[in-house]
Amino acid sequence: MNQLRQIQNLEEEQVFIVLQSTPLGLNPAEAAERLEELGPNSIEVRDRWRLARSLLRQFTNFFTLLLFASAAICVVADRLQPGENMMILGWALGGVALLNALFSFIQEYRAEKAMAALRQFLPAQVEVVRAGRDLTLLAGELVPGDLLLLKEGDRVPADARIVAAEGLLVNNAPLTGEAQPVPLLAAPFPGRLVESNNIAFAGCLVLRGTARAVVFATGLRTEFGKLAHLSQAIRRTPSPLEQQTAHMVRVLTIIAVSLGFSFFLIGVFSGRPLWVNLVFMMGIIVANVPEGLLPTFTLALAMGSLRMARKNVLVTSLNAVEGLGAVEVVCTDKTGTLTLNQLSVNRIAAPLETADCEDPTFRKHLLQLALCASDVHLSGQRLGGDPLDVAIAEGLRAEGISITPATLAAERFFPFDVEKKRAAGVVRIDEQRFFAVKGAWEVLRPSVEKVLDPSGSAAPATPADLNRAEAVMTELAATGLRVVAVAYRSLNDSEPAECPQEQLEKGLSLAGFIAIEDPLREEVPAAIASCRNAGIEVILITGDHPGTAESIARQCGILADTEQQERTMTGSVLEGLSEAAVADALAGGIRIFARTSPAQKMKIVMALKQSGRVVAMTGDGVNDAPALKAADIGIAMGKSGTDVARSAAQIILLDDNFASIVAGIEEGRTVFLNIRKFTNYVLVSNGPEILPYLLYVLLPVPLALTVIQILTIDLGTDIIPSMALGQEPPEPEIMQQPPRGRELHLLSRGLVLHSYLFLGLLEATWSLCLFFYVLLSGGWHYGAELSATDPLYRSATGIALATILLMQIGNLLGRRYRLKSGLDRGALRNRLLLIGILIQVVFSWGLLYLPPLQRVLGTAPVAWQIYLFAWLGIPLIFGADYLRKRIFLTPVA
Amino acid sequence: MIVLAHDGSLYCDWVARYALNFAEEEKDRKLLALHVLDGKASPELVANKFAELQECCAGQNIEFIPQLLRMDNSVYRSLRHAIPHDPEALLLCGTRVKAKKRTFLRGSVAEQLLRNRQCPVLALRVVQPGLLGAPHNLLMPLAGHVAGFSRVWPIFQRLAVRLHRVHLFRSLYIHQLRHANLRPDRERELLKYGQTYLEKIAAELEKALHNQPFCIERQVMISSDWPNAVLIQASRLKVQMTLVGVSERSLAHRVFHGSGIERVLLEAPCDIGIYRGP
Repeated sequence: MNQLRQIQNLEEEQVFIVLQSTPLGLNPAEAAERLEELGPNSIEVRDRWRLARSLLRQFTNFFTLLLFASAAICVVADRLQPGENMMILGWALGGVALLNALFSFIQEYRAEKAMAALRQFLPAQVEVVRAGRDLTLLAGELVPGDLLLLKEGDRVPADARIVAAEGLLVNNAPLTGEAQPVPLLAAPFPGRLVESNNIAFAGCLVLRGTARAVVFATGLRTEFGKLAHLSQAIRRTPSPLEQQTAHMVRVLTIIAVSLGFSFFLIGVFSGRPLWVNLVFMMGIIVANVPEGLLPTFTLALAMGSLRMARKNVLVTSLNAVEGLGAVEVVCTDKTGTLTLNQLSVNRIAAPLETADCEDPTFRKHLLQLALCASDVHLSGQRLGGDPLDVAIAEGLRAEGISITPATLAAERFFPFDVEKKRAAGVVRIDEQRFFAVKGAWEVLRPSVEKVLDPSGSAAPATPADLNRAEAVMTELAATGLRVVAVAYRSLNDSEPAECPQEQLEKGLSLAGFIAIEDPLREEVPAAIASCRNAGIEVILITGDHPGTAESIARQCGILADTEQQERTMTGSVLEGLSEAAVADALAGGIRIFARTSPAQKMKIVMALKQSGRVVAMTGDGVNDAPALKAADIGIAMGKSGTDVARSAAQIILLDDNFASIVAGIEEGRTVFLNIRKFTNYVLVSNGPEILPYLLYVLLPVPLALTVIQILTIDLGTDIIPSMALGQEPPEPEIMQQPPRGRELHLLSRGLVLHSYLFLGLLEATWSLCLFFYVLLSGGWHYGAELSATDPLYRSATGIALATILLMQIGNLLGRRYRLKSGLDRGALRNRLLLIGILIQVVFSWGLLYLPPLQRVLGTAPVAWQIYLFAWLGIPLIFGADYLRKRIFLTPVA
Repeated sequence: MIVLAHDGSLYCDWVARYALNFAEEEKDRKLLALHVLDGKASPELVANKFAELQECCAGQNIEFIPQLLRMDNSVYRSLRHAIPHDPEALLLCGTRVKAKKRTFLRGSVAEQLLRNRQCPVLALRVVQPGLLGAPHNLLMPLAGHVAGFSRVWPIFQRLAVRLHRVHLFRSLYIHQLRHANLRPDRERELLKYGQTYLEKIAAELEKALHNQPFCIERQVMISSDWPNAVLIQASRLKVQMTLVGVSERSLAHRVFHGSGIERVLLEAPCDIGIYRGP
């Protein structure tokens, strides 16, 4: 009803009236009033406090707060009881908290680069007419009603309605993703705003011609502005790792604080001095918090990103390293990602015959007609332009026709329109004028009135002929070929070429079909099979015909050959469905979206996310940016992608190859598994760190481990082995397991029990056994107090610490493999692991026998026989863990 | 009847496009234009603008009733006396940028008019004059009130005739700290709850408008920041208008939570219509 009520529907002179402008432009006062009312023509969402808020957020997570609180307690304790080195400890804890927070802030800050790339699509200055004078203005000062002057090479600064145009040709790629140029006219357009051919959209490039246009939307209200707004405003949902880390930190914080506070209260009621209780509370908190874990997370992710880069997967946000491993659905483009994007003519078919036509005259004629509707440039002997058009020109060359500027000279050319799905041109072939059109069969079919036979004569098309032609096209598409229909009509010399395309397209004769082949990448079927084994769904999104898409999907394994169920949905059906309905369709088995536009990707992402799945989406165009950002993992193409897509994505595929995504998923899964391994490893040492405090508070025994000694483990000797576990190569069965989903916690109940109550308790028991053995053999009796400087006490704490360090070696080896012993992974394959072991060994010896270390850590030597007993801890912990694996865990067949 | 509060500015000319379109669908096809002579716009300018409106009305077969009102204590009071007590009528006014460009609604005549209960009121912020007051895609954020959308109905039914697509949207508030730690199953429950509410509203809509010319989409989002959620949806769905309901908030609420509607108006990617919520 209201089709003729928007700016694109109006006559040129009406445009000025409704926007209260004139052919002489606005006067400065009017422009100032509008600028005041609507604000500058800027696509930036101004948020002065964004960085400050982001920084503050880093300091409000539980972990950082806990570390700061511990640091504050240390400072207080140092004031109450100087000389206990508590101030140093306070500084160390504060430093770790600060580094963690700043590191996360830098990560987040670097991720927000999309804006800079988007800004490049808008000009800094524009030419307008105001009060009858041509002026150059800053683009930000543009307002609705301004009369804009556009010429070749200009970027359009705002959405504007063309009121006069001469040969205007624009590239709308930033909005549509379609690189083909689009001619714009001043005449009214009867359809929707976004499909109009009389609107110059912000961000688009003027390729040819000049125009005058009246601005009707500026800044964030332009179509490009909406895209920019989304690229800035969409906050990426926390990655699975971020969620897991938050959960882990929460659990550890609750454990640490509740234990610390409980023992503080016990201490208060048992009559100990306040400062002693404070220090012990802090000791228990410090013992519970794995201070080195978060920096090690970051290091593991950074190392993972380096390994991914070697597999052509560039990571722009560290969380994406692991996020890719959690992916449950991959939505992929076809051309260039699954296929090589090396197009060539595979078959030329007459309208009613599927077989490759061998008549050279027919083949040449069909290709010549198709070339007339193609945009190909000749540079020396090289052909340039759209790959499909170049393939047609190459096909003609193969038929023995040389391509010269004269061959390519069309009297008139109608570029490919993504909405119309066709291109056309007027050309003279052998003294005969033709109007030829090439495009999707379904859009040409209504205009076809005749059908050409291989002999060259055209007969009226009966419904049966049209159905037969459709069957031919479907049959060709079903072999995975891109099928282009070619139709034409002869023009008299008197017929003007200047009339509208729709008028020229009446009474067409179907000349035939050209089937274009785009070979599948060799490695793709194996990669898809790997996805299938790993429980990852692959969804194909393409602009191609459903038949072509299905065939490619079968060739690469997205669809099984035997599958009969409906798996394809076209863009037109998708357009009419709600997100909930799309989600239902996906749950019902839809795997292919054919004849879709890039803008529809967002709908597919949102529908998939509605079902709670972790989604990865590929894209290359500017208009893919919102979908890339909305997906859990946005993957941009490094070769063919735009800067905006690359900035919006977390992953960039350097070779545009689907197989690299799968390699990345494997690496991502490995990173998560490795993070679990070293979390497990680190938490084991928490057991022997906590138990001495519990015994000290509950029983009249000396403290087996001081706070400095705990930090030596957490921030010293455990770091390199943790990093080594972060570098472990993928386990063979990693891609034979389903995605872990969002529900699996990094800190699962099983992991906590295994760390604290099994290996942790074992480590604690053995180290305390040696601690008490040294004390008892040195003459200490139950209930006797020992000072911190007593050599006996120093020797006992020394052996306790050395035992924990050595037992961590057994723990480390066992952590290498979840299902097997860990020794079978090859001792020399991970050099960092060897360095970690060496550090543990040297440190365990040094803290007992090297005076400088003894002074710092408050330790003293023990007899070498006792030290040898500490070594027994390694086979003890390793053997116990191996037995657990053998008894309780079953390897994957 | 459609009542248009016109302050004589260019901005109100854009608002008038909506008034004209609405009046065309009224049974009585009447447009009452009110202007308070507050001295900000010259009488000649107002007369010219009313003459243009008169011309447009004549072209669309609408009865145009212009009224120049004497200034009472305030613009609002002057308008209040002239606004008919008619629940079938609809009053349209604009929300223009205020001092220091920080507020649009707070302290404005539009805010006072929205409190008025003489007839339904629609306050408009027009940022896309090129739409000529005829949006095709509409976003309706709903806060989940039991009353459904009874308050928005008088406005919605006037917009409905030109709509192609309506997006019902529910932003489910959750505190930012909780949001970061929301369990997936809880998230699914919340989304389902939101969808159920919107399904009910969509069913009501379909029942009220037999053979409606538009299709209805439903979106639910969990967010700790509803203005941002509305703005994101508006950009994502490329809607041409967003219809937002506002309610009175306590001073404490405004201090602690700020004014979301002002942010929506400031960053509006499309025309914004504001009505009084339950």
